[in-house]
Amino acid sequence: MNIGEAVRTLIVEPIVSPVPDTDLPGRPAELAPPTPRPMTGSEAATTAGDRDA
Amino acid sequence: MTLAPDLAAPIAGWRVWNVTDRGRGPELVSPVRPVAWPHRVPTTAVCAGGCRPCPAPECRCGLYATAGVGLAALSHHTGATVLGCAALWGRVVEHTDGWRGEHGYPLVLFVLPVVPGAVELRIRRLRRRRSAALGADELGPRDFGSTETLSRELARLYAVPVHPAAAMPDARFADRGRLAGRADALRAEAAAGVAGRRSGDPLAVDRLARRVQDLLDAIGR
Repeated sequence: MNIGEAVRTLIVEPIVSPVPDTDLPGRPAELAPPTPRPMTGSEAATTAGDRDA
Repeated sequence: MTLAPDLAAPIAGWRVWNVTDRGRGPELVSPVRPVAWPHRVPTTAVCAGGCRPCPAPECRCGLYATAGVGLAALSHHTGATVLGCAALWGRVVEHTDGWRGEHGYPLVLFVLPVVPGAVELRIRRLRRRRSAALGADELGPRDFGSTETLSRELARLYAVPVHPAAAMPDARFADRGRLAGRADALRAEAAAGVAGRRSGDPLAVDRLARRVQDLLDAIGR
């Protein structure tokens, strides 16, 4: 890409980083997928579990 | 010796990217060199010729961005998938028509429509060649389902505004008239409002959104 002749060199130190450290404003935060709820003893007894897998 | 900074806000310039996916979702890559712009961290230029510091005024190294959107629009024929404004900072070499920077991160992006017909065949060949250099497939919007899907994914991963665009600004007219004025206004706001947007100022977010809408209206969405 031709951007013409070099004119000068600048030192640019932004006070605020241009790299976001949070999600985009106006968007809900990215949530981790829900972890399975531990089963109660009676529920656990009615499932086959992964022994047959 | 530490040099006193010349500017306390990033420089914003126009540029284009292609898109790849190396297992972490869509990622921007340079259309010229096999350099990826990673999510949520700055991209830092490295000179293939060994310039230190990079970029050097007498070299051609660094992350490129243009002042006018027209010069960036010319790159669309190489199959660029995304147009946008990028922040450049660190050591920045100013040119008559743009900049070469040490660090970069996108500020606002536009996913471009699929290029039709015969042009696409040539672009596919270019993409295959560039993919080999990058070590990952270079992809187009169709590979992600649609320009809308790709826009949503890029917005989520880079945490910057991303919009589908109906067309690439016509390079012949992009640096003149109403379109040029709106592109310049967007570029200026992208740089000036970065601190406000990062701190969650809704007015700064709204100002950029209005500049984006103005540009989209001018290019025909």
